[in-house]
Amino acid sequence: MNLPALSLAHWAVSALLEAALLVLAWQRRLGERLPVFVVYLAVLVSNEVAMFELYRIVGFRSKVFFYAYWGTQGLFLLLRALVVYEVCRSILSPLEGVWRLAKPFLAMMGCVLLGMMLVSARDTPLNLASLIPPGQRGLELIIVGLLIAGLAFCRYYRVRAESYVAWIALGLGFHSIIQATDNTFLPWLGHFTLWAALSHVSFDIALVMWVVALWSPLPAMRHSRVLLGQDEYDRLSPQVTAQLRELNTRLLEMWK
Amino acid sequence: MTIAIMALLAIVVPAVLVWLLFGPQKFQRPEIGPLEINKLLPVHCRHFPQIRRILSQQDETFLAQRASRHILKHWRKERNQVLRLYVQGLAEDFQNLTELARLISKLSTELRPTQELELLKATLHFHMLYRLTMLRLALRSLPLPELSRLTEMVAALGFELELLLNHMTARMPQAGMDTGV
Repeated sequence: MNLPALSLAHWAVSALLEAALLVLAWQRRLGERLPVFVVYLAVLVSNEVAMFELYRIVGFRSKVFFYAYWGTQGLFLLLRALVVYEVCRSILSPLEGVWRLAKPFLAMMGCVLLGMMLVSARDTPLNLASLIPPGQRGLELIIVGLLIAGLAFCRYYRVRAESYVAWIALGLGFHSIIQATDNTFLPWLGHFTLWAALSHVSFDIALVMWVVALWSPLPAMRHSRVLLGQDEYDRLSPQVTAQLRELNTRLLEMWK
Repeated sequence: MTIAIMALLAIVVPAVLVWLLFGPQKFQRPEIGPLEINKLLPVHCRHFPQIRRILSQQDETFLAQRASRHILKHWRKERNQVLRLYVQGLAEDFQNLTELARLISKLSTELRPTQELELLKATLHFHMLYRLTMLRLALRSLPLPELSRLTEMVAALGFELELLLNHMTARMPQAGMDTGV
């Protein structure tokens, strides 16, 4: 069975946009800063070519196409999760101590979200068609959760992401949450075309966000140096916190 | 239920992401150079002598004996306004101190999770108490001696931090600090 002409045209436009984005990323030397994101773009472009060839050979409704499609979706999910980690690292790693603190926190959070996903999917029948929607939803939610947690760290410690990193992160988060929502709606709507349309539109919006990210030349890399020694943090920070706590106690006393 | 939650998340999550990535920082940190870190020191508590005068019960007793009820009422209203602004100033001092704590954390090679959690808890606690205190001031039921104690507390805190920061700033030029991270 062939896809409608409109779907094929959309496929071609998306593939061209992905290729243009990859060229832009290459021109901006993004690989020196966010290598996993560039790998992700390269895999996207290669996948479009490979999937189109497969579509021409076996058709859209064949089992081979189904497994190939969902197999690559799994790969993209993994790559997006790695890009989220890379985004958090690129923002926080200049602050050595903060990044060291954030890493185990993010890992722990990822494990908790994964556990929650597995628990929520325990009653799902063990066949691929039933497992894919909740599985993809859970993994997309893990990506969104980790992204928000990482960015919350940045905001708490008053670290601003560079504009291009911010747009890339926004595109990732936006696409993931819409994908997760879309997969929740699929069994309810039972309408594959609508599901596919929403998924494609969210990805197209993410692509536009990434084009915005790379449209202007990237700012020069900043190198920061760490000032305080461990002994100074150990001495200064508890003192400041103790004073803050004491101040709170005084405020609380007003209520007694 | 799941569908409703996911629909809500589809709206809330992009908004949260935009806020986290592009939203203005609530606290506009003054530009801090290596030798200007004292900008983060509490400043409002330095007005403590004037506030202590306002808090004095003697003034109220004096006015109650000499002035009309209308004037006394007006004077209490004005005093309440001054106290409200003062508590807001103390909150600003508190905010500066938390910024200082975060700055110390940002410039350190290894953070203690318990210590950072403590700071987060103190900050959240303060925000809650501050709002309740402002509410109580709005209801004009704040015990004035307690406000006096609070002021003394912040003043003492400012003095201690000044000593700490003097030590820090003395080291900064040697280390070639970049606080603009």
